[in-house]
Amino acid sequence: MNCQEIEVRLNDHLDGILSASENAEVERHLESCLNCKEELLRLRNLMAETAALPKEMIPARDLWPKVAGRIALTKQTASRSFFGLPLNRTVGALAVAAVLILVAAGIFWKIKQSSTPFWEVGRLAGSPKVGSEKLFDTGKLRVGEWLETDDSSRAVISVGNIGHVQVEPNSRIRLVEARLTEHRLALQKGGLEAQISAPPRLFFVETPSATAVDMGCVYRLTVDESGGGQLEVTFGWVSLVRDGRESMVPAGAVCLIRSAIGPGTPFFKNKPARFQQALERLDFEQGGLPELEIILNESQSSDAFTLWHLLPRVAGVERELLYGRMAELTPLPEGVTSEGILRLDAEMLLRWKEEIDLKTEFFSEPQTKTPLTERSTL
Amino acid sequence: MEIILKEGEQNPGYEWELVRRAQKGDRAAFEEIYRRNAGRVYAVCLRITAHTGKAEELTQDVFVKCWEKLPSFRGESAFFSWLHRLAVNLVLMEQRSQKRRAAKEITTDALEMLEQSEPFNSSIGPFDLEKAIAQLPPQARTIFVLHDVEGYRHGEIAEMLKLSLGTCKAQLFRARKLLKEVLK
Repeated sequence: MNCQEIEVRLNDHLDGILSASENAEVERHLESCLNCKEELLRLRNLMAETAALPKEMIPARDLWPKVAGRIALTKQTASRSFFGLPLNRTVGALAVAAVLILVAAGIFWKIKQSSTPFWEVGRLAGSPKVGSEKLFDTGKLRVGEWLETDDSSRAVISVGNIGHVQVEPNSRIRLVEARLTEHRLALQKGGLEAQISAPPRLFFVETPSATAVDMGCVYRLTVDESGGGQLEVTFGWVSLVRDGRESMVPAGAVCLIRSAIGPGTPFFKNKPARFQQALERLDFEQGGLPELEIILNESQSSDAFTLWHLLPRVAGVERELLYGRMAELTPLPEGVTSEGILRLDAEMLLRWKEEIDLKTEFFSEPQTKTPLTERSTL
Repeated sequence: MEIILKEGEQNPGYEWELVRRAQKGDRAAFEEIYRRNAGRVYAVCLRITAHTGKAEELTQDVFVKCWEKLPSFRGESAFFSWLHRLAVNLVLMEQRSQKRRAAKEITTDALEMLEQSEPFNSSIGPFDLEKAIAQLPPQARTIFVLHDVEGYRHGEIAEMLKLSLGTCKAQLFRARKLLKEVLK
């Protein structure tokens, strides 16, 4: 054992956490090494100085008057008053309730305003068609009708008062629902860019392999000939769902979609190709441990949300490895245990996700809404 | 963790009596609890945060929280151990939210960078251990204070900070190494 290794061991030696044989090894080295003996002495001196530090320190001012003032307004936990909340939280709870009522009233008003039996549609380029009719300038897209663009045409759809959808060339899209509480399109092929400003879960786009649920955001969604496709979010969050499988995609991230499987695992689009390919194989091509190792080796703090999605999608040793890396990137919040996460306890997974989402939003691309280009005036 | 009782605190019956009265809402009894324990609570807050203003605020928060939670104290451990753990948890929680706030305020690629502190000043003149501890990088300082000053074990610290045992030991080694430079 060399001096560098001994330096580390000296700490454990003095802390009394080495085994008898390890202690003996350290002692043997010390007998023949003056430098390490001096190091031990310095360490002992430091520990002696530390032990002699005063246990108490007096604040520069008396803090009791402030403490007394605060506890005069604070009920002890045993006394509860508002739906089981301590009194000091009651005011907060009432304030929150008032704000919620106001927000609900605002949302109701906005929804009422946005209520239309059809959606307006405008031509951006070429000759888009609504049903069998060519669109020359603006027109109406009624529930059940298809909007189609060829390789040289583009169009824009006004989603009530809550946003716009720009339809790319070679696309086929149908208006499914235009109700107050449900704005729903079906994208059969091609691509669209949606810019929505509304409460979550009011705007949906169905594709053959998954449904995009708007959470107040800007995104681009494409569908290829196979029915698969890709979602790229530039603002806010979008949820992609199919048969109970859900992927939450933040700004700056991409999520692939495959027919017969549904959404893959979302990832930040700036990840290296190795990472993306490994994730794709793991999601859609029966990839396993080799792919997971690439993902774990390439993962950083910003990828915690990607790893979180993989937890229920792998099992056994793979899940344990995944958990280990995740815990390094985002420590577990209080009350959440490794056992709970490994057995996929829903509540614990959600609590950890809340912690991870805070970090994810930090790593997301700048939170500015990119206006749709060449939007027509409807 | 081993807690050494102050003089005048040797009578656990009296301490329990104070706690019992405070649990029923007796503020005079609670003030006495505060007077007996504020120095030690402030010391741990100050050494971990290395900031007098924050330490004062946290000390107040600890006693307000203590007042709120007091009815749930059942005397299963010494009162000061309970209070000390409450203080440490609150300080660590504050550090975490501070880190989160800092992470939102600055634009950097990795949260880990927040752990990179200013270079350690190994020439602070006449040896002043308190000053040297205050200059340690935040995580190394927290672990040094909890382990070497407050007497927590690595396992307890790793659990509180949600770190691996290896990281905990490595940070303590780092802290001691930096402090030894000052002792030279």
